Amino acid sequence: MELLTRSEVFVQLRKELYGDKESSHSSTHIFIILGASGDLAKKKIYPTLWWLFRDGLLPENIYIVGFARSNLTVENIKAACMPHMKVTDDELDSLSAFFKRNSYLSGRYDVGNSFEQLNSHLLSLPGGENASRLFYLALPPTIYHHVGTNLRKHCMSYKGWNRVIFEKPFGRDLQSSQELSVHLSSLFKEDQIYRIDHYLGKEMVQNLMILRFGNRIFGPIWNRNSVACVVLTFKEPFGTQGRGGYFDGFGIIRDVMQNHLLQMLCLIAMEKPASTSPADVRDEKVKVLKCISSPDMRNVVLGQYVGDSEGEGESKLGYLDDPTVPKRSCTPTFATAVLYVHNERWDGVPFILRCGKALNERKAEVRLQFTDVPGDIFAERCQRNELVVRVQPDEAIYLKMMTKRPGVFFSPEETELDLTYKSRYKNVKLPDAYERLILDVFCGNQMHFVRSDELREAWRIFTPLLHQIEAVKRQPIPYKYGSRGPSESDDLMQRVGFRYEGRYKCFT
Amino acid sequence: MDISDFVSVSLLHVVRLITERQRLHKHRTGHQELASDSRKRSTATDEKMSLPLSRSEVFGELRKELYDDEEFHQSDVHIFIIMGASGDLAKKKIYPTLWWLFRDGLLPEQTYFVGFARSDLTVDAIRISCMPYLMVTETEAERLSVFFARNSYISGKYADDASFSKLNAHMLSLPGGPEANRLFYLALPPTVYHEVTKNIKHHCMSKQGWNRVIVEKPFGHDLQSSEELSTHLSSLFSEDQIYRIDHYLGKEMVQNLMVLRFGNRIFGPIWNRDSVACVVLTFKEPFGTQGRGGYFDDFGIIRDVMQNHLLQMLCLVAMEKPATTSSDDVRDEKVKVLKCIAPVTMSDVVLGQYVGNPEGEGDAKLGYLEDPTVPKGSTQATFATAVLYVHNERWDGVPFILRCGKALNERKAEVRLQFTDVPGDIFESKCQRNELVVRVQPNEAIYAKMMSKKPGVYFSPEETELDLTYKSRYKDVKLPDAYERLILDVFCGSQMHFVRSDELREAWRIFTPLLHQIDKEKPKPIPYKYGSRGPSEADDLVQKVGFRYEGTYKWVNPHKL
Repeated sequence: MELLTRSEVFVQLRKELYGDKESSHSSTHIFIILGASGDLAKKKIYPTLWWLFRDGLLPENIYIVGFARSNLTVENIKAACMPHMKVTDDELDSLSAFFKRNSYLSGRYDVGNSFEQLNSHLLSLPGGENASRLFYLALPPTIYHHVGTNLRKHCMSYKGWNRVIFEKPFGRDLQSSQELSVHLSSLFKEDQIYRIDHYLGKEMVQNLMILRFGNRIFGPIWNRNSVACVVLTFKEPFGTQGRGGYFDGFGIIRDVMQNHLLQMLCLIAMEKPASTSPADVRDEKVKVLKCISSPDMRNVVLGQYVGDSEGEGESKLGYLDDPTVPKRSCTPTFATAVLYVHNERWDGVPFILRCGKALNERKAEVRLQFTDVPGDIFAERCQRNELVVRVQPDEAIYLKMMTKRPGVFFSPEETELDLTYKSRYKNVKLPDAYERLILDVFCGNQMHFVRSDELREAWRIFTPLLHQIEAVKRQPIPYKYGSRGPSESDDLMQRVGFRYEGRYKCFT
Repeated sequence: MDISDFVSVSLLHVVRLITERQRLHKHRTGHQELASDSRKRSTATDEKMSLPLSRSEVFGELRKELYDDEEFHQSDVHIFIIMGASGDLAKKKIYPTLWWLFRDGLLPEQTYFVGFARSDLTVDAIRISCMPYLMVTETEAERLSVFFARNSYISGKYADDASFSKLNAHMLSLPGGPEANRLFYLALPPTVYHEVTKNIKHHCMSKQGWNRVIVEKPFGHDLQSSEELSTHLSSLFSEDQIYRIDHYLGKEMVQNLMVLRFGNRIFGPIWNRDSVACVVLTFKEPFGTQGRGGYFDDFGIIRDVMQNHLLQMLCLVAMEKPATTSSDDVRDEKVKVLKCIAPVTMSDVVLGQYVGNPEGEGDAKLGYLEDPTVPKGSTQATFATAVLYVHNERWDGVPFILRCGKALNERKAEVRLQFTDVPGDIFESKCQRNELVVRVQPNEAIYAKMMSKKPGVYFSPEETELDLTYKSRYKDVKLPDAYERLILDVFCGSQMHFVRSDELREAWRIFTPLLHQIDKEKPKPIPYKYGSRGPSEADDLVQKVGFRYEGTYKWVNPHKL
């Protein structure tokens, strides 16, 4: 790895993302955090901005403005954020410089006047009149409406650009999501809207495109002729930990499957885009989604964790033992669903989406299982090849394959070709998903954000299932805290064609 | 190169297969910890594999695999006869290999070893001359005595019937001798092959057991001489009795090629002219003839390495999937590949001869012609690059580049498939070609060079590799040396890793016109410096036919701490 100075990195980065066109490094940018007093701001947004600032990745003339209802000072915000910012002793100067760029305004989200005040403040900053503005809505969705309207009315920069960053939830089904999208579209243009799905900011998720389209060896096997099934997995080893009240309003399908897993599916299944421009890439993702019909309830397994009486601490508690969860809630904390992409490349290939809380491990990965070798000559001793992209933890790519059992033998044995980031890229620090994504917003790159039509298609796929689940209100299959989830899920996977070779430890 | 290869191999001799033995080593637990650490995703099969097996279990498993337990009974008596027992090959390679196999319990229990040569020797004399190559540890002294107690030696003349009658009488006199199976290893100069094989046939064949004859190269020096030898052998022995050694076929990674290709779905669809831009088969040695150039000068690098080792690897890379893994089905497919290769023409060849590097040290100062055993003004090639094409549906137009040489910059034998560019590139030509590399020696490895996202805040492709380095992945598995595998195969009657007569004929057919032209016209090979990459004309040729050399990339051992 060559060493670059910070500004070199930034220049290179902008060149890469941006082609040197738009904003020059020296122009003024204002980053406005709406909901600056909240948890997300404190734990994620302020720290991310600080890291980017510290690493010289933000434009030089950057100002950060917090806005919320509470009567706060920058000092208060600093104090609240400090535990999450990981500041070392020699960074204290830089930290002061960072907070000098900060200011805070209190106001009400539904009052036009408050936003006029905000706007005057933005204009009063050095270079404020020409500044570009990034609005981060770290807010509950209930007030998106007001805030969006007020921003549009009172806070648009006329000389610089304006971009608005949204966090999920983007509605809770097709209809509510569409209402929100329609509202946003009435206020902002698509190229101003940045919907965050932080999975799109992960190193290995971003790598999927390069792996697929930068390597000749994967081209000819990336289709229904060679791929037996695709498994997209998200597993968390902990439960709701007393915050189940919020989760219960959504459930695991909305929380993980409909967004993160489906986004990964798109990147695995899409055709090669015409270029790497965000529009071309998102066109292809939408195209994949259009070829997916709603999952059949028969191809879905839902689970809800129960306490493990032999476990310790949290693991003794089931989902329903979380005091914030409504009694007898039927909300699934685990789901496996099988989707099919009805196009020429993927017809008949099951895409298995699995996600759950309180499972045996933390893991997010993409796994392509290839078909058996036709015309086997090794007395059925070969297992299926698998290409695994491990998103977290411990980023890795590995290819499970057969090799000659080493030594005097001539029989096949399973092994893997491996690329483990920790060993291969020892000195490279992988930026956190939010760092990448916020940087993308500065650079105006929407590739890793969810476009309105993508969102609509994603909801179209899952809404019938979600409505059915909510209408039926059947208790999900109980599974023990810390287990692999309900065994019915494994049965489903096997039924649709995944081959689990017990001899090899792939899913423990 | 044979002798030097022997030496390096025996120096490296680590080669044990029986885990039981390793368990006896004190530091074994330490190894295990390291191994398990390096294999976070270690497999159940791994674990099973590292379970210690007793010798007889390993042997049993082995026999089952190779042999389906049919023919061979462990209780049968076997006699291994070394013709040329006083020679270098016997001393440095055959006796040591037999000893290692015996020590590790891989030979049938009732095996006797009989040396035969002209000199008046004793088993003790042989033992003394072999000792430096046997790598005996103190705890093995007893076992070694048992081994040599199974040895005997007969002196005789290769052209003399009576000597062979004597040899036969001796074998019959061994316990179980009349029923014994006999393995004859011809560690002899080709000049005496004729007489010896005739005498073996007439006087030494076991009437009740089977007979197998192991032959070492050179198998002739062109199509005609090779055919004469083959015809002679065929008049005496049936094809299934003849075991022609090409020791490259005994190498772990060469043997692995079939499993890699035909055991993995992912390679099937890309293993053809649509996806492969070219195949490079490389053999490089970092030393010259070291005063033994006299022998080499009669053959040259094409006969010594290219026509046999590299061409064998080519067959395994290019062949269609055989009907089964039986020896003849595999060899049928290899022959079929060879039949599709036209004779190499001079325009597809670059020849080189090394000259001393005045800035080098020791041997590196000396060029080939400064080897006192090399004839003055010799135009023999010590380096060759040749491009072959396999004219069949799978490979039409794909260059197979064979490169070999002495006194080069490194020791390396590898198979490299370079894939085509990605059609319809969307990354502004920033992608390099994928390559699948199977490194045969040193440090066995398989790796796929591929593009990955440059880690961090970037979105550009960067070259990396998916890696399987045997040293890291199979820390406690000792890879047996090629000769151990091959001699074991002869015991088991598996001919897969031996060269059949028709294979040999086709190999000579491909190279003989070129060799004759070279012998006749004596073109002056291009000089290259000792320790260099060889003549740059070779790189030009390789590029001209389609190999893309990206100078930017260097393989990094991802496991190095």
